[in-house]
Amino acid sequence: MDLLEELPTLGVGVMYNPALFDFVCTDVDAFDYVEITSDMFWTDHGRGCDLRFEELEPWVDLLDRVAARRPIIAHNIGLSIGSAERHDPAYVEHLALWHKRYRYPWHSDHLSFAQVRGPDGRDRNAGIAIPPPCDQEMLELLLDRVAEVQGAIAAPFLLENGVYYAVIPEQEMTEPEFLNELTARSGCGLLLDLHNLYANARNHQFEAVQYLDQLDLSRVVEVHIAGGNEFAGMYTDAHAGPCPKPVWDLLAYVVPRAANLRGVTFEFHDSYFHTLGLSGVRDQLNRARDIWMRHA
Amino acid sequence: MTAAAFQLALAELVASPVQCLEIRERPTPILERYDLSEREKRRLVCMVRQPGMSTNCTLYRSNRVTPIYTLLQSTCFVLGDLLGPELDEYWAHFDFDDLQFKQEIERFGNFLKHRIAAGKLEIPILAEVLDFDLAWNALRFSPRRRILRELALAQACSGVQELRLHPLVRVVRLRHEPHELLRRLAERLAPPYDLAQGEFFLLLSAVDEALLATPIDAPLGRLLLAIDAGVASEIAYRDCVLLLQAALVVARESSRLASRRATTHR
Repeated sequence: MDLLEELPTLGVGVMYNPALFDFVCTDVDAFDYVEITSDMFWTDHGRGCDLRFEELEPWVDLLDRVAARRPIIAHNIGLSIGSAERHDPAYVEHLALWHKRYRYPWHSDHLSFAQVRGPDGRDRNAGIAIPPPCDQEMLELLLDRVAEVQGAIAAPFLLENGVYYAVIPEQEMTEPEFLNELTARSGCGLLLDLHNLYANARNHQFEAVQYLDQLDLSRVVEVHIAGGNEFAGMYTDAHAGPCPKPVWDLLAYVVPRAANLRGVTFEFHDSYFHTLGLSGVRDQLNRARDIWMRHA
Repeated sequence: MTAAAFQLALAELVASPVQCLEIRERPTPILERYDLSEREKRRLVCMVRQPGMSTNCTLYRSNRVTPIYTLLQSTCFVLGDLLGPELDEYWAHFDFDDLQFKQEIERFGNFLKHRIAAGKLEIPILAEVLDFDLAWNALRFSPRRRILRELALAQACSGVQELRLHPLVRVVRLRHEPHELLRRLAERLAPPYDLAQGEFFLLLSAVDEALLATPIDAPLGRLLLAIDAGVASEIAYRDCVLLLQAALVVARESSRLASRRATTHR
């Protein structure tokens, strides 16, 4: 049986950010799980350091308190799984240690690259997560990398579709074809970020629903919803407060078609907390829950 | 492997709007630096002509400034209009190695210190505000419980000799009266400030749960900085006891213990 089918249904969760410090401790009825970017809970002193991953104690204390009451899901940013050269098994080992500690039902990272290796052999960061080209060569590389993660961590691994502002031309596959092939051959699941999809469709003039129709939605375990804004001439995935209507419409479209959907996560950046307030966060979570209940 | 060269080239373009513009005009000189296939060259030339590439470049700068602007707020405020040019200068010389906030602000802080020492930044209160910001963040990121555990272990071991500053304490020397200086910065009142000048010291401590900044008198401030620099002259036994009891200093651990700690962390 497919591992994804055995996963527990968690419901509607919230991506942790510092503006939610009190909320996640006191308002536990408002969400069914908390998603964390676990990289934010430690300082990575870099490869080769004796003590490479140094935990930020106040953050971990909070996590321990939340984990006692609600499931935790890890959504990481440090794998850079699409990097052609970079390979960081120590990072994967550390993720495995954290999985043993918090027992996430599943975990995820982004289908992108951010770390690149310079001619001097040193790693550097691209500063943004860049989705790799949908080519056969990249697919083969990703299959190996996903297998490594799956071998190290005993929980289903999901990859998230990315947002892109400049289109890489002459790609060998469409993004849905690439994701279908990747998930089918590797067994990994999909974290379908509907706001990324909406931003891409809006910026590059394609129909988001057509994209969804081409995607194997049975691989979708989790959905991300968020808001964005216009910036530097494009609509960006800024996590800028409440979700726009088209994202809610896409959620309503996906829910009845994604048989293995187990969680819907609302994300916002803490600098936009003032646009929501705690009542606004609760409203977004309730609206997601309503859509799930009505359309599942 | 040309895919690696493509990713490096794309990352470097995202970091450099100037290079993006150059490629639009004359692609060959820049692209020849990388081992690219013909398709990868065509891809990059096409991408730099898209409006989304400008967005990428802007987002790169926004993401890179985030740790600095978030954690060195007072320093950025004091830099004012000079922040932009200083960031350009910093980014021109330092790659974005990683996404680690702690390391990035330390790198930028050291860069500013060199600029101040070289006379390229002459803002009266900048050096002391930067010292304060860096000390505050150093303690914020300190693993308090681990340090306290290790100190307890060190106390239990023999072989301790001299004193060192408590690892959860920092001392900042200022040339302006700190209470009023920090109040004006917190209220974002633009410098210059008319403040009492002299030699002032702030003690920053994370020994207890909350991180605190407390003014201390000049002799104590000088003594603690001398201990921190390892240049303190002999301290009376009674003073050593008082400093230890106040959790301002700790006994310097023996090299045997230090090596055992390093082994434990592997």
